[in-house]
Amino acid sequence: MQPKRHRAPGDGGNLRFAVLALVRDRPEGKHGYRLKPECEALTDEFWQLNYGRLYRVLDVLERSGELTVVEEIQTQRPNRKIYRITERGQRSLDDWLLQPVSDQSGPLRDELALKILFAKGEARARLYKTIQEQRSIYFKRLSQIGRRQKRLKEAGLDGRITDLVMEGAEQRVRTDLEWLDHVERRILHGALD
Amino acid sequence: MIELSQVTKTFGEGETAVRAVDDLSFRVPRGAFWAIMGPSGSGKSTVLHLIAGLTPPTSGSILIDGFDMARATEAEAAALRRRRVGYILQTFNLLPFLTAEENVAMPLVLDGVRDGEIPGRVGEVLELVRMSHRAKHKPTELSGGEQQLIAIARSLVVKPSVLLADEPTGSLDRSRGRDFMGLLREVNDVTGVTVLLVTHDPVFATYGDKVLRMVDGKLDQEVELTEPPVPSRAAASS
Repeated sequence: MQPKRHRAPGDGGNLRFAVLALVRDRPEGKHGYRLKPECEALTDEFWQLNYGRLYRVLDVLERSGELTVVEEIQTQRPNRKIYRITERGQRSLDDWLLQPVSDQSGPLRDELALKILFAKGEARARLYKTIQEQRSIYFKRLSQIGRRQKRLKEAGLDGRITDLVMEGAEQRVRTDLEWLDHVERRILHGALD
Repeated sequence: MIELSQVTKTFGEGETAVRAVDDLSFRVPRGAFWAIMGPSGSGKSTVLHLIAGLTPPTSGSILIDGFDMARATEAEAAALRRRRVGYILQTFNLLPFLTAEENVAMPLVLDGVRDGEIPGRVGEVLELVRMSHRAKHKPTELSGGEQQLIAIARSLVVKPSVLLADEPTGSLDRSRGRDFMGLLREVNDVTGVTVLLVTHDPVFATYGDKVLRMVDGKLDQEVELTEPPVPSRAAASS
């Protein structure tokens, strides 16, 4: 397994770079309250955004000198924070963008594959049900990807790029579903008995 | 509303008989958008043919808005199909020598609708599918995606209560297929027409509220897709 270069404890993993990129896209500065919905649009029900985590990431980025923050004094409302990316932040974002993806998936990362591999006795008899449950999860995931795409567009991200990202996500679920159908056919036809 | 009760459809007889649909029952509520998926030969297209009254069931009943297709006379069934059931297919079947708007007007002409009423209704559905600007074009001057939009306008012009779509994105590329599905969803939301879609593409199936999966003529699985209520996120942010 490859070492995860960018995942020092507490640094927020990929969220850190998503935040940097969202701030970078606004040279005039990004309001903190805008970051919430935009980061949220990047996540889905399977990877829920924890706001505490978002604030910790902002805090870490400020302390490491990758972002600067200016507080805008408001009379009627609570003060607003405006974030800007620094040269150092720009460099670390560029580095990350150029690194190969560290989140390598392999057969042993897939929980369902593991269960099929190790199912015996009662668990094997229940496999058909497990497959149906998994299929249901995949369909729901596809439906969520569709809704997420809408939210990303509403958050003002470039539609052509979000389409490509979402198509990648859909393609993976599609492949998972096809494999599931294949496994089911084999089980129903007794190839695993 | 579409209601199937213990519907069986057998093709052929004796030992070579094939049971394409096997004791199938389900009820699609008015205004719903459901998709049927399944491997080829699972009977999903036959289900649409049965609902459209293109072929009678061997046994069981099929009701559309409470009206039994199987028990209707030939003339009643034909009228029901014309007025209540819209049908779109992978091939668009537009008449090549007519313009887009003339193609859309055809079901109204055949149904004996007054001439004065026709342009307004045609204009309305062309606007719904955002094809008003292509009204005067012949099918050969339109892209595949545009032709499919004209086909959907033609099926909607009679204000059907049910729209059956059999692989409507089958001859479109993925991005046009996606646009088409978005529009089909919008048509369902705006007009309240009940949509039953047959597709082999899980991405397109999930534009609906529910997916029915068929295997060997039977219902194998139902997946509900309607969005669960979103928990308040404000609480999590404080």
